[in-house]
Amino acid sequence: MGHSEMLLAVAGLDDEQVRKLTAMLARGEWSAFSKEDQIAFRFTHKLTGQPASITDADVKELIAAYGRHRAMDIIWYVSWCNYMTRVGDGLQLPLESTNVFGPAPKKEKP
Amino acid sequence: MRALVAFVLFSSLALAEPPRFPVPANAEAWKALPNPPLPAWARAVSASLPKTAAKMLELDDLHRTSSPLGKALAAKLRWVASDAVSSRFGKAIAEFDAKAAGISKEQLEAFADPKVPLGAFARKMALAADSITDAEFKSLLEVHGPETMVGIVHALAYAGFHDRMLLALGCEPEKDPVPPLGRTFDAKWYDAIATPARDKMPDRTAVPGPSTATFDWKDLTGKKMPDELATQRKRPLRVPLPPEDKLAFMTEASRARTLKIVWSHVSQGYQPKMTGAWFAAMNQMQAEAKIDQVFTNTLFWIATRTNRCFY
Repeated sequence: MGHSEMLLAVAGLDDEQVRKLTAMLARGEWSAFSKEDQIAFRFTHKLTGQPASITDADVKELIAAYGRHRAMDIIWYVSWCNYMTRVGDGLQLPLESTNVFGPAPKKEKP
Repeated sequence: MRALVAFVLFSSLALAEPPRFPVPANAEAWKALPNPPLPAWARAVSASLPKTAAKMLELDDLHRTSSPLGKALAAKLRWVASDAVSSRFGKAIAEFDAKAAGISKEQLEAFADPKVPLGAFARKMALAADSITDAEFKSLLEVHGPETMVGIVHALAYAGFHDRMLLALGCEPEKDPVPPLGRTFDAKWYDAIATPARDKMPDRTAVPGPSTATFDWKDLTGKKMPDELATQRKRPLRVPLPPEDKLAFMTEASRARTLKIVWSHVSQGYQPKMTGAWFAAMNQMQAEAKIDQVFTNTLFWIATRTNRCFY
């Protein structure tokens, strides 16, 4: 979780935006997100926690929202997250105290 | 002299003659030859992420045929992990590899007995890795040592990744399981492959309405979440940090970056082959999909929260 927050910062969100985003996700206030985002969030939660319960309907919904190739990207990415977290949890790696992925790229002024 | 010139000219002409048999271009020749079979999952991925599918095949080969843990232990771990998440395809792969390594089905089932510490560890890693206790890990570390334990964790992490792919893609186990591919793909191959264009990401404007969250995470809302992160910062590592000279194979820039990230330092220090093959697949996917990083890391956050992984 610490790393995902660091990577959100690298992707361009400031501290306050990261805090607001993750607080909304944690409280289940997903109505602030688009319909498609919510589909991806639900799919992520289900594939992570109960992978065998993924149904044809879940995948069809993902494809309808994102298209076939992007749906594959999402499936791959969520599976990737599950590799990373197993190493983090299995070895109980201590979280680094600073953002180890580097500062956010500076946005060029228009 | 004239005779000599005539002889040289004749020889040159002879060399310029067409070959006795047509020699087709490489791609044409491959069409006529039986290509090694690909597993269903690789064929499914290749339609959207062809270069990533190639890296996945290389990664799969490493875990199945040249795992630093040995083929027998690798197959046993995969079998237990796939069984835990009801991945029939994953189990079929493990049974195929176990048979090739001389391990019977009975031996696989015996390894899965909850009384077998390593089998129990593999099941917990698959279902709830955060629930593994320091004491459980320590007792295994005393038997196997840090290098093997990091290898076991990576083998089970790969199973967690691959089984989710198989289950989400809906791949049914093949009647005749496909053996590991046994080949790598060179730079020219990658250069010649085109990735299909993606649809534009949907408009991400919020649509007011009922929330579709499907969980109860109230246990960690408010102040508790930062507390969990603070606790994770103070956690002692379960294996000794590998000495820096274990990373001597890396360039200076890569080593400096690796030393900053505990995940990478421990993984590259103890299991460089497994980590290298994983990073190659991961980096290829990132390059091929070019997907918005705020979006993907939001999904990462949800996955970490679901798994209660505070690292």
